[in-house]
Amino acid sequence: MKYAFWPGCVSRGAAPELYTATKAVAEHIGMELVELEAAACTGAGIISDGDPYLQDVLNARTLAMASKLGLPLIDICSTCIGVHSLAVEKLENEEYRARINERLAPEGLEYTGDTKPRHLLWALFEDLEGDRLRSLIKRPLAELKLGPFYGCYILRPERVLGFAEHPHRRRSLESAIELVGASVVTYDGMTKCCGFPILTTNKRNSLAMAGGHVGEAKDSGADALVTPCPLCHLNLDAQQYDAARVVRRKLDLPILHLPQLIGLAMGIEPDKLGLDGHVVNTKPLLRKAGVR
Amino acid sequence: MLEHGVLIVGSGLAGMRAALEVSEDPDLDVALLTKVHPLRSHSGAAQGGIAASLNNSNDEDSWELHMYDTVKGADFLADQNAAEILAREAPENIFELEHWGCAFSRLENGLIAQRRFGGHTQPRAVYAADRTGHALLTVLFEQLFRRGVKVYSEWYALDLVLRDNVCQGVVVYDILTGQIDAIAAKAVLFATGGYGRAFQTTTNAAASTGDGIVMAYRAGIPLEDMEFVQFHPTGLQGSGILLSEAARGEGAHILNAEGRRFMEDYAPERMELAPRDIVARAEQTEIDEGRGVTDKKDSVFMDFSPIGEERIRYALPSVLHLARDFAGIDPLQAPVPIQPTAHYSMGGIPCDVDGMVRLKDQNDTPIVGFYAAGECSCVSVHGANRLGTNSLLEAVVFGRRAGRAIRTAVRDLAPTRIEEGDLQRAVAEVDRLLKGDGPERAGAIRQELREVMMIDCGVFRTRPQLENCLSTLKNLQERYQRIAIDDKGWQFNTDLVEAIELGHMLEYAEVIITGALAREESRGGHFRKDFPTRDDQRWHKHTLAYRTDDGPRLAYADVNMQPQYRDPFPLEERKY
Amino acid sequence: MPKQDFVIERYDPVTERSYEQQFTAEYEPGQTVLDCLNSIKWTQDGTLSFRWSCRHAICGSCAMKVNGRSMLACKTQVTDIVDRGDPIRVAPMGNQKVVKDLVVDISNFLDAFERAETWLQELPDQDPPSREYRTDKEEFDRWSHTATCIHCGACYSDCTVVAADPKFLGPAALAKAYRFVFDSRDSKKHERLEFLSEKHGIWDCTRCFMCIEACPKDVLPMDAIMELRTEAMREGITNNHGSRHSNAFRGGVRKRGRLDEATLPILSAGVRLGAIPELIGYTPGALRLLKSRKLIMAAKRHGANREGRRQVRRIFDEVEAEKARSAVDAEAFAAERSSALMAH
Repeated sequence: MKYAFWPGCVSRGAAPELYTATKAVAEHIGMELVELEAAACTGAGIISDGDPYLQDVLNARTLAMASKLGLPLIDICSTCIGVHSLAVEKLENEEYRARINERLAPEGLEYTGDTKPRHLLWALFEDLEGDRLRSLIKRPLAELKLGPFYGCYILRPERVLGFAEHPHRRRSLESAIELVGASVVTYDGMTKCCGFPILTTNKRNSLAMAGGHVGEAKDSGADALVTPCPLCHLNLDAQQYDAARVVRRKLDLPILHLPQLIGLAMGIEPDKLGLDGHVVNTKPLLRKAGVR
Repeated sequence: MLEHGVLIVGSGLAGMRAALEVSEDPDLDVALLTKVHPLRSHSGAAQGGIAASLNNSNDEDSWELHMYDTVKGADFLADQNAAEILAREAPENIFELEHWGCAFSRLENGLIAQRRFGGHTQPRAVYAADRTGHALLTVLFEQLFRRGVKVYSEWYALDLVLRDNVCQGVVVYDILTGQIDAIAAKAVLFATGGYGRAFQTTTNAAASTGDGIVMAYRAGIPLEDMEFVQFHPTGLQGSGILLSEAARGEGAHILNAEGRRFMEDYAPERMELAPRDIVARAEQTEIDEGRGVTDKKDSVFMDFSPIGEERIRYALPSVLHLARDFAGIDPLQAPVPIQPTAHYSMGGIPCDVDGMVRLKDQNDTPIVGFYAAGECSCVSVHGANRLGTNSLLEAVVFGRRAGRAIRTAVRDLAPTRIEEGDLQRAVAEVDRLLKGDGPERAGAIRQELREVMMIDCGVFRTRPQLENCLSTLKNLQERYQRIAIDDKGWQFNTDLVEAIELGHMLEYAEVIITGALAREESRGGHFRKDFPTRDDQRWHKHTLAYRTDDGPRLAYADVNMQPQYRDPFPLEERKY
Repeated sequence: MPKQDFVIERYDPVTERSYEQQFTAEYEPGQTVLDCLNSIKWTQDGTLSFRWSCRHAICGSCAMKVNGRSMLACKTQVTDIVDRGDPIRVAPMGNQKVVKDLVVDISNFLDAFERAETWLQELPDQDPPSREYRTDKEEFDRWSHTATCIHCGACYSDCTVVAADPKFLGPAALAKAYRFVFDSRDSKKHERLEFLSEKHGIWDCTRCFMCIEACPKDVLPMDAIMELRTEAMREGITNNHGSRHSNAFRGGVRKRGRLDEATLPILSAGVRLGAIPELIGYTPGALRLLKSRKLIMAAKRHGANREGRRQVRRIFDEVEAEKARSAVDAEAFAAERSSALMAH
């Protein structure tokens, strides 16, 4: 199991604990991650506001870099997988792909359409042999009630995300929670937008969305949320106290990155998973889980 | 009591077009009343196109050819002065709609695209993919919004108030609150749509229950040519949902169980592009003679393969989706089972070419201040059978003309008044339905009505069938007096509205059957197996049915053979 | 005939009470949720209220929530959504006030069209041609799919922004505005883009794709909103949070190949006096971020490696030159549109 690894900007920036946790889990499982250090930001659908073509060139470049290594591309961010998957779809248009490849030619890169990016969440269930994943769960988190929080781009648009071939992807996050032995708490907002994309343009709306979802999950009995998206994590965790003010209630709900959850259940120590780097304190949760 | 200078009832193409025309005069107070929001009107379901001799795809068309095709398609029952206006005024109406922003499909050169359609000898169907009605409805609503016309949305008209052949206004019911009220108006236009819901298999929306037609009938106005109902040959098996005639216009074939294009036996020249009544009868004959397809053998196949995938996707996207979503069949992969489905109501409220309702008696008595346009009216441009793409055109052309006529006439009309007693019938009926505690359910009666109308008053008719249909109907009318509804509340009571609509259906169905029983000939959409030929000697005339307590009383009126700008087209055998 | 349970969320306007009621309906394969609702209404409980009319996905009356997602009841086959014997859950549309049972008040949804003046505004003082305006096929293909909107409100019902801000114009009205922006018969392109760039407009969309998934007619509202953003920026309408944010983001990536979170809020708010309260608005969160070392980590910021940065800068330069020469962005949108429409 060897992957071309795109860590995304946020795991190398404001959410370094995701990077730490991903590396720890990958090592534990035996996933070899070849980091694409020269790769660029996906543009996150924001560069494309003004420069859709530019964003496509940047993503074609990343896809081509993986292709050159002969490795499948792996993402650890819902936004990254969504933007990469949309780029793959657009680049099926041969005329458009040819135009974009001209921009990649100077470095000898070419995107030929043979790279299907995947998210770590999917790879866990699709790439590990047989029962291996289950056998690695050494510390079941049976005491915990966890709510999934997907992030839009790992769910929509369905047509680009391989849901037809891999129907389990629709509820992959619930599968992950079940895998670690915790119980799943469902709530309306779990598939909705966290609000992050408009945090800087319409802060009140953004925080109302984040606060609404966190509150709803809490009301449904969740001890914490799990997300495969560091941008959601930023809005749900890092902004949680501001969000609480907007929705006028106390929240204090820890938000876990997906690999932190998997790592915990595999017996990796919390400090190696960056669990001390969150805004919302995770210690009470860990105590409840019987980890400390 | 509410009051407006002009009240338009019905918000489809004809109603909105008329309202826009009246609103051109800023001094006039015009309001539009509709039981469904204007954007939900059934005009939006029209798919294939709107006819006009623009000559964008060829250079051989003319209004005269369009008129001829219309008259011939109508089996010569159309009034030729009206058919002439329809064809002559078509192009200017299309350009006007285009200038308002209508999303018509285009040719490579940027002009409006046109295609072939059944019964038209030239490619004159202007279209917006296969959602032409939707495109037109949308653009008219945009204009209505822009001009700020007052809309009573989800208000239901219950009664038309006439006094001495002068219209006073309308009794109305606010569906949201359940309040019964009246709107006095110097001029009232009915554009309330057709009556296809009385048939089991139909393309028509739930709203097409002939409300306006029945209100006029109850007010003493005769109904014209009600026995002429168009069965569209390409309804989806089972649901009857329309697959556009554009499919045949684009080149789809119709096949029987033997895989043969059986239209060569019925209309060897025009084949699948013969008019709808002819194709529907051909299908029904194939089905009746055991050459139907699927397990039920109740349908024939429409084969899309001659068109090609790219063109289907571009020109027939809705057909593609409708077959997939409502029949579970992908037309790109397999033929689609289709069957005749009740589609269009040729008959309706008699009116002249300016929409003014007239009794069409010896004096051609007008009803002052009362107008009709669109499918509920009978001008008559479609005679015994309407050609595809002429209905949207009729709605626009005659909606506009009626609007203009009203704009002029209303200045000279005296104020009208509605008295407490005028509300009486409606109040009593609503009260009866709300309080009824009999054993009958509206749903069951409606179901039986629709079944018997389809079987005994459908594509083919005979005297015994029609007599059976009439006696069944009489029984259903009686049972209707003993219904109970579940919803006794005032707010948004759709149970009540559906029951009132059923009362309308039971009323006009009787007119259809009675007219069909009397007309001992076959013409256009009306086919008597016991009188299989056209009989111009006896029946080249319009039916007029007056309401009496003993059922409809029939009278007849001449067909207009006096176009203004050319000689009339003489009667001839109708072959394709 | 197979049987199916339905749990219907009802509302009684007299008692103002919401409640759930379970029904069982028989259905034949091929029948829809609307068929089942009608069978319930006609044979079990006539008080159940909902709107419907055409029953083939063109009149737009019957949008409602089925198993949590907004869709047309008439277009939803029962066999497609039955899941292990669970009841099908039917509820009124979201983001709108319920009138009775499954009937909602759509006036807020419709108001948005009026606010956005979604009708053609022709050139003043200029008579239209005697025949039609010519519209080239490229232009027609750009917007014709948005003209298929049936105003059912499914997108509005599922819109995550309307939920937070009822004044947001919403996906349908914005998609309709798009059509007039790109319709060469309309004379108000720039004014429209300026209006749409204001608060409650294009920049408030979160790009969550809900509307694209909910739309029963392939209008692709969110894609239209994104193209409006590009067009507004191209027209130089950049004095707003959204385009500043996009430009700041882009600038960060240009410099380091990666997102620059630390400086983003400051640049997006705009360096101007009025922006100070907004910047201060970030401090409570920022203090906590500092405590959790998040801001420090963000400030340390890993960029792409040296080679990567060089390549990214080259690409930025080349693309800028290319943009000046040809309509590459329109091509990008066309590529997305055609694959999306093909897939649906």
